[in-house]
Amino acid sequence: MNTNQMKNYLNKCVRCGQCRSVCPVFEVIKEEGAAPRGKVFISSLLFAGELSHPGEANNYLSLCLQCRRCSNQCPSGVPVHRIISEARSRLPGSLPCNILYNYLLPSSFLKERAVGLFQMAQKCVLENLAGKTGILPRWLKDLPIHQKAELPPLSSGHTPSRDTVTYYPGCAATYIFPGIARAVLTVLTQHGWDVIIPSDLSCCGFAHETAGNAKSKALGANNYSILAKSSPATIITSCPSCNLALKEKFKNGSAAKQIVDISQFLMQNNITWDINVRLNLKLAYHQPCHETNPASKHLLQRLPGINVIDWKLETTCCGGGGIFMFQHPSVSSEILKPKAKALKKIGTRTLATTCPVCSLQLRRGLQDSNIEILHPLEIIACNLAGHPNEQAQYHN
Amino acid sequence: MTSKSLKKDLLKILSPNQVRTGEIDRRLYSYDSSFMARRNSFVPDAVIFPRSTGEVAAVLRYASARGIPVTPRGAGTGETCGCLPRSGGIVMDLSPWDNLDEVDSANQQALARPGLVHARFNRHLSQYGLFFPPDPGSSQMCTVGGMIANNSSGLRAVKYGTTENYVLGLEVVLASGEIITTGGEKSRAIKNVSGLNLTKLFVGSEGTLGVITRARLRVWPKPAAKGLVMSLFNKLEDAPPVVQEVYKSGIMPSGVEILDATAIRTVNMYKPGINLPEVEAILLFEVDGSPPAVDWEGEKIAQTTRAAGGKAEWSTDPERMARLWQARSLVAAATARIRPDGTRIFAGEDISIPMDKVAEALREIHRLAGEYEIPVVTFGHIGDGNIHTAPVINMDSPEEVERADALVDAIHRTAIELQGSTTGEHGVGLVRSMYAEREHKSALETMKSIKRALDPQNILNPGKIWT
Repeated sequence: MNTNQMKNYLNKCVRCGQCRSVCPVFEVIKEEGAAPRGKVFISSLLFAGELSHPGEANNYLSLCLQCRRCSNQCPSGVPVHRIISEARSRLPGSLPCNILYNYLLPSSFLKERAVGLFQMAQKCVLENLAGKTGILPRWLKDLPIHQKAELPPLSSGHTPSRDTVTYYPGCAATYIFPGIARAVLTVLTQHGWDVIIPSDLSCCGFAHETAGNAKSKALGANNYSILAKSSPATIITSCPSCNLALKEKFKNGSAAKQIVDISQFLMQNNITWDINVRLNLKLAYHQPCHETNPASKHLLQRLPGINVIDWKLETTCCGGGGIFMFQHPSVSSEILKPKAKALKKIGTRTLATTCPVCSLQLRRGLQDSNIEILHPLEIIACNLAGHPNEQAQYHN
Repeated sequence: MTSKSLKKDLLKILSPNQVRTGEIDRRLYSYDSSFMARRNSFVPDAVIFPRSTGEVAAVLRYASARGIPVTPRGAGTGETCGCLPRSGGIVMDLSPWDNLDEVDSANQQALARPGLVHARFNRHLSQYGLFFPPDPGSSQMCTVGGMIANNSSGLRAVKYGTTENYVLGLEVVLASGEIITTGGEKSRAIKNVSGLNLTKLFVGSEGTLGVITRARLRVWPKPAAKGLVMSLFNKLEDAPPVVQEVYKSGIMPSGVEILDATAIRTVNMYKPGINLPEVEAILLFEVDGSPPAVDWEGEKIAQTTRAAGGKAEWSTDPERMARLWQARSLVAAATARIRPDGTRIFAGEDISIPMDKVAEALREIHRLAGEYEIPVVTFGHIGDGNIHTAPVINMDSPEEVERADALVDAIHRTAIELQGSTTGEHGVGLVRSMYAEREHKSALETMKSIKRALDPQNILNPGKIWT
């Protein structure tokens, strides 16, 4: 964002306070510093060089989940989330965040060697530094990072295949929840698509962008150049934040590609499901803040034997917000509390959601329950006829 | 007194998480949504978050002993600098104190703490088939305490009146720290004329006479049905007589809104898909009550419109009504976008005009807007004459800002000349205090005497309502 654009946006905020009614953080903290308009105001002071201790601004600016509810609600069209990211970029990041953004997530998703070293560090060094001395935050120790996922074949074996599509798995489906990438590939190939996953793709940079980390631009540019060259016109994502980041990049570029969420893609293609046994599965859906269309829920509703429960807090924020849940664990837990309570009350054993960060956060809040949290594609994949895990997990 | 020593003293009364004196925290309480607050900085020395009447009383006792100004604040959604500390001192943010202490459905009343958000209050009341009728546009975030302090209302004031009609009694802490309960110490009576009406004295007093710590509020049964009529007029002057005709036919709509040509053009530019007819005025009549009454009233208003040469359509279907309301609800968002370099400012935004002079006032506002070369969008509550004006200016041009000030002053003067008022529902605060003398003449002295009697040291929200 250039200086003039920023000034224009800051001017447009009339501080009407509409954003107080939608911000999940404000809902818990209830002070002006937690309200989105407050954070816009602090950003304007920071940009104008009016703060005698600019570093203190971070205490307020870090209290943003980047859920974008305020930006979507703002009657004046102020992109609050972008202003906050820009303000964050003017402040030095904390050491753990710098490790994450500059070394763990910078290129080729995570480098294999980096994963190995990090896992070792988690076991040996961080256990003490994070757990006992408190020098580093616990989240660095608890981040569930695995070695790169083994993936099923990318070819459908159908001749001719329906089409070839590109799949962008993102960091989470590669290293944290590899079951998602496996499920996406299984569903696509079983229904006749061939899939390309180009090598050397990097992290989508969404987390960097929201944190104001400069690496986001290089990551975005790398992905753009690889994906723009890749022959399929359709690029499929399975994470709503990756989807937003790629769309943003392609919106400003010249390459004509369709960036589409896997559920939306399957809905567009009107798939007839080959599910032999009626599942009789009752599940609840959690809509992530970054999910911009209801395709995933609709996809599940169309499956035979799946009963998607309507519940009041389906669309409220879970309080995850990327590293927010690690930086502000108590605020994050407070935001999650009503949602977790409601989920336990409605008596479902399965919760579906597309966002891996929401999934991590919800696992935290539901660890004392027997609710399993899965990506919609994981639910579909393991119930497809002929799948080895068919009907293995769902009995409720 | 420095922020540091003030903090030390306040920490003897409140816990550390209830007191803020850091630079950023104090500056966060230097604004509301007024244009004046954009250009001035009213920074408090300390911000506090009291959570009990005892805490409010202790702070006021301390502040009055030392002559420190105290400014109560709700959600800070006001447009008048009403909640900003003109002379520093303590800002009391009452918005986190948001409990609904009791709903007494049999007696149609509820007990609320000052920070309770209006929309949340109504969501809770709907479980009992009840509602709190005053309906400010800021319903989703404004607080009940702020509504009482400003005697707020909204588009349904036509039928239901303003906040003052729904306050049965108040718990108020006076400047001295003394706690009083107005409207009868223990009374749950709906009708009560015993004693002087102190409740009404505090409603609309903008935090200058006492701090409201609890309110006993009258709530009403929710109407069983609603209907909406959209009337279109090729000539602006044809619209107000139809409102009068509707009243004459024995109908009291819950709301009557007007969008004039500027508002219609603005909405069409913002969302071309809505495709509002480019007429000079659109009226939206909302009627509520029993289903047969709503049907009769809707049909009657449509007939009255057609008889006056206008076009009308009406519906009781919630989806259709939502579509018809869309034009009105989009005006604010659309206004903010009419100039890429522009900012909608809240100034001269709340004049109240006798109902038979609304068309005249709208014409005059647009003449003035032309004269001062400031784009202005107008819309509002024609059913009671409360007009909202939204000037859109380039904030970076000092010359344009100066012209906007002159335009706003001219709009306020027009309201007084047309036998109206500078404010219908937003209040005076600082931004309209210069008109007090002109509007109230000799009554202003009596107001000042009351202020002196209740707050002899002038510590409560000093410098507001009059200059």
